[in-house]
Amino acid sequence: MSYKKIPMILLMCIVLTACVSTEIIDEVPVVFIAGYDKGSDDKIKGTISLQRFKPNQEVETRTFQAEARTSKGLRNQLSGVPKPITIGKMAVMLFGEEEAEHGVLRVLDSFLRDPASGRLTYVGVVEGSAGDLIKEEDEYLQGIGPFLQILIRQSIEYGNMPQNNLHFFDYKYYGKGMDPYMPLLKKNENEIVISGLALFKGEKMVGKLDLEEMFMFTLINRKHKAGLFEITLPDGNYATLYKVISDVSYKVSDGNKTPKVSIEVDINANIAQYTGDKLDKRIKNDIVDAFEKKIEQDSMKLIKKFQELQIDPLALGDRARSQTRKFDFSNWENHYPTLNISVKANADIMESGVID
Amino acid sequence: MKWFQKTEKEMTLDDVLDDLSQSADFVIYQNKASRIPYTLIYFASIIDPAKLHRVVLTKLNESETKSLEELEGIIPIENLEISSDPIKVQERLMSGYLAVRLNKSQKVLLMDLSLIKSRDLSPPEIEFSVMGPKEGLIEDLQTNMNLIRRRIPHPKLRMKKVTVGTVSKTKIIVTYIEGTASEQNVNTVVQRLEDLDFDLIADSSVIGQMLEDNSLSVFPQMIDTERTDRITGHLNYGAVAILVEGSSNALIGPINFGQLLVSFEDYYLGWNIASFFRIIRMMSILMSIVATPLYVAVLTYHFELFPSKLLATLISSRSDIPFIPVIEVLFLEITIDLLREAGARMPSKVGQTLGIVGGIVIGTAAVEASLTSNILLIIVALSALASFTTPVYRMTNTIRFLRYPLILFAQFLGLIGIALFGLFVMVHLIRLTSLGSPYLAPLYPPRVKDWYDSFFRLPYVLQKKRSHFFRTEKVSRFFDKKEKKPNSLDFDEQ
Repeated sequence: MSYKKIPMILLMCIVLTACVSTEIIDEVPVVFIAGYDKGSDDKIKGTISLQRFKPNQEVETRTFQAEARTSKGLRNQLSGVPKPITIGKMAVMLFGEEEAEHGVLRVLDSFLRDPASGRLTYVGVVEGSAGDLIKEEDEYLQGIGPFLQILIRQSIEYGNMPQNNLHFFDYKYYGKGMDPYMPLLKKNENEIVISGLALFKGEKMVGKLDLEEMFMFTLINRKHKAGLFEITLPDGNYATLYKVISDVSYKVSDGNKTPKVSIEVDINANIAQYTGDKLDKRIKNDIVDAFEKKIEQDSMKLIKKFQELQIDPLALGDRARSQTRKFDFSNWENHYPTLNISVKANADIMESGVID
Repeated sequence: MKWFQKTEKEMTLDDVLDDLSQSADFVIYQNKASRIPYTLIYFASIIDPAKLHRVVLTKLNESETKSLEELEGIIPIENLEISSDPIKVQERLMSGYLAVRLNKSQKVLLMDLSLIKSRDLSPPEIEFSVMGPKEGLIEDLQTNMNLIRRRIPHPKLRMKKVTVGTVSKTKIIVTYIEGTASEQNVNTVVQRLEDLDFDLIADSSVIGQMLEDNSLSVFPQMIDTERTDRITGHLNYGAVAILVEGSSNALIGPINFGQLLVSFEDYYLGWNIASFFRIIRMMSILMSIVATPLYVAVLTYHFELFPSKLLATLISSRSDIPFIPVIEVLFLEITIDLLREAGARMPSKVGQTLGIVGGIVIGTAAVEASLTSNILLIIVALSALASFTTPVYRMTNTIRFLRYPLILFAQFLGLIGIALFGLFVMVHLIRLTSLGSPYLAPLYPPRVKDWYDSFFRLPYVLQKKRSHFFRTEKVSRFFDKKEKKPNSLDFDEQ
């Protein structure tokens, strides 16, 4: 290359860069949380919360609301917000219950297409209206977005919630033989709580799990380190287990004709508290037995519920596919509601504290 | 040019002497009182008066001979010659010779009485090290040669002399160890030096720029060093060193990118610690070039890269600043370079004030006046600090220079611009050569064994071989071939 060309190329780099739009950090509005509800006339009603950072590191938040047919179309309606609205730091995306039952993909589609949107964004369903929940943001110091992000993240890491985010939703939605789920949030009088798990069939929400069911789901879903669990013993005492670690193995036999699924759950747990007098070996065995029995019964109930709803959040179909040659999905789907599924739990107490 | 040469040839010795006598320090001393009348011709400013008085004058006044040839035998000075060529006489007189003339003849006896004034040895100032020898080159070529030969008392240490410069007639010594240094490298250096046409060579760095393979590049293609241990170390690996009269730096070549990370102190520290420091230096080069452009790119285009919690701090600290990030960065970067440049130009006594002015006033005041953000101040200070960790001074300047185009690229194209510029620099580095050897050598072409002593410094046990880079014939550092093959030792031969 002759040296005469180099200045030309450099010049072109500078001249042609008019096409790239700048997003200077302190000029663009940063959206941390957005909520979507069903608006009038089947429109999407979007609520976003913006944060303004003051020089003394205080945060001021404001919410904006608009209605449109598409989620990107909302941006035009949000005329009170300085443009461009950036979704790169979106922490949580919430859907109102009605909107979730109507179908979330008309909103999510634009996020799944957009390379600027993070895949680690948490998605959730609100019992009631998502917009109303976001509007109550004043109570939270750093704004409601970061608060909910921490709430959901800590529940996944230390609590009883299964791993979930936009990427998981995407994977489970488009994957064959599985169905997505989202955490379910609820606004009590003064606080926001996690009330369970919202079950989806395709893009539509079809059912809910409460907190105890969510724990069971987490245990049998995949290898997971869950948080605390309280069980009732036959003698009327109570015990609390913590650091409940589950290891699940799924076995599918005869996948293409009359499939049979057996789920084996190995669980290690530690006893955190016991209301009786003395925790001896016999009582430990009782706890283990009660726990195993509870897991088997409750998870069977859970699976029955899934079969009735004809959804597959446990991804049984996908697991069957991976264990069966030339897997026949249509045959599986026909058999799914009446599938023979058995759960075998195998619990183990690791520790019971320093006093024993 | 024939007419010119013709007039030169017709010049007589008297013409030359007339011409030279225009200078005040030129002396023509005629002694008619002695037994043989003689004339001494010399430049008083560059000869040693002690030698003249004690040796030359006493011998001349005692002697009774009437021919120069006999005088040549009497005078106890080693560089003696008889010449009748006026041009040669002129040259010799200019370099500190004394001419003895008898009876107005055209022949003169020339003797070397040159006096070299030079400063004492001093510890290296630019490449200072805590451990290791503190012996730096000085401006006198003889002393420098002495320093090097004392460290390598090896019969194969060669010192070839080349003279460059029509005005300065600078003596240049090309030194290498024959058999260890590749012949091709030596020939390249000598040939390039002989081909040089220039008037005045002020310093070795001038020669360095003229010998470079690609003079458009910002990367140094030879190492300037004042450390004698560094020179001898490189000579031992098979490099060629160039010493220049009147310069306290030597040039070493060929070099590669890995050697720019090498401080010679690494060899005096433990291998693990030295390797750690080399990795730190490598990272600091990268950080120093990329830190502020990244700040510009991320704040202008990709704020998503910041963690949410840092975002609040960052936006808060920037919320009062009226400029876009690139202006803010350029302002602070230029300030730092101003400080550095002023520090280099100022007399050292004023320099102390400069630190206070620069550090406190500009740093703190700029933040308080909302010209820059706190975070940027930290980034700029760190990257300025990082740029000085490079042991080769010219590389420090390269790093500081490279940052500016990169900031512009970051402003115009964001991270893509940084990648684009990185690509540009990478292609340039891959094409670049130092005395014909690949500049990016241990990386590309990949010579994994050479990494032992470039990106890391592994223990001496693992460094039995010389680097492939120098294309040396003697690969083994301390075993001769005979020792390597004990079978060839025949007892009958002994």
